[in-house]
Amino acid sequence: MNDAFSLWVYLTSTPLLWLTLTLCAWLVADRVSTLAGGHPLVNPVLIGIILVSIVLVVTDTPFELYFEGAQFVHFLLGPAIVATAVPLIINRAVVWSSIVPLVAALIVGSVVAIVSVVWLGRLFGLPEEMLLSLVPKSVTAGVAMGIAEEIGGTPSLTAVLVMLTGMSGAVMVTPLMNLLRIKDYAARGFSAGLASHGIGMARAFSVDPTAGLFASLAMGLNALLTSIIAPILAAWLI
Amino acid sequence: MSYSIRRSFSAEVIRAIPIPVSPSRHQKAFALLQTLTLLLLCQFAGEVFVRSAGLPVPGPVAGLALLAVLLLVWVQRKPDLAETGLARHSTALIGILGLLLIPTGAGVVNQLGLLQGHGLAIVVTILVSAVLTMVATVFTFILVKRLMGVRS
Repeated sequence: MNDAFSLWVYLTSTPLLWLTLTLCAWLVADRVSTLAGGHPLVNPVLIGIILVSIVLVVTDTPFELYFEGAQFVHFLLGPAIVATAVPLIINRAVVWSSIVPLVAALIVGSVVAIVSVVWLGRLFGLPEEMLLSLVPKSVTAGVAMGIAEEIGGTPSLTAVLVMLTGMSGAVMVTPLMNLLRIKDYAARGFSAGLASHGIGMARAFSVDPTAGLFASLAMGLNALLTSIIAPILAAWLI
Repeated sequence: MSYSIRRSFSAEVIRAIPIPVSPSRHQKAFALLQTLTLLLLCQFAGEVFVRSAGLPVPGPVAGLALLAVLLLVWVQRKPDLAETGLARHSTALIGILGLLLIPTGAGVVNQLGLLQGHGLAIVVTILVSAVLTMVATVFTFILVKRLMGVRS
């Protein structure tokens, strides 16, 4: 018993256990999602996060300890974003032919993302500090936290709101677009990436390669545009 | 990389880009390392550029732009980018994007207390705002495309 305990203490202190847990959680989540036929509600990212969280809560593991192992997976996010340049260039003709609708949708979407969340938040009686933290919620976490800091929100709260937004968009995009009878996968993907950044982009890539491509464009461009207009809109709205 | 290219600036640039070209079996592992090195170099350059210029863009997104520019030059001479190891590895990496988001996601579950009892109001706000954002974006995209007469 004592030996088993010291083995456990040893394992929890090495990155091996938490890295393995993350990979196993993903394989299970991916399998479940495949078995469910890629149903939008059975989102593999969401399932993976829930599985990992359950293990962390049950074993009373602090997140910082978990992240020492999981950081190796997290690190690959950077190269994966860089890698989206490859499908972008392979499909450059498709992208170039939609450049005008793309820019128009970017501007409209970016403004609607900010204005709608502030108005709705005020309607539901959220305090000012939360409204400010909500402003960059459609932008990828790293950039969103920077924007929150600049306009007077709370970066760590923004990280939570960004993740909730990403999940909402990734789960809702397919049923919503089907309901609206939109068959243009470039447009569908672009709206998923704009509203819900990396998680929306992961969903888009799993549905259709063109959708994924436009989602990655939307994510990158919205990060850029929001960091320019968020301070202006926040000062005007809040 | 033994293909002959004329001596010009773009040829030098192309030669300098370590894109894995040959997919022969014993070179596959090496090609994978080449891809990873190229991606990391782009990310690194992007990070340095963004930090020193004080731009509000994440380093990887700047790295994406840099790699796109390099590849645009590259495809002028070798149009078969889709056949390279780089394309295969990139597709694989993008395919596991969901996995890469799990650690951050688990961290957020840890921080749900920050919602300070406003949980329901926040969730409703975010859900409705996400719907409005997606609807506005998708209709703008499709309307402008139709106005321009571009077929999907």
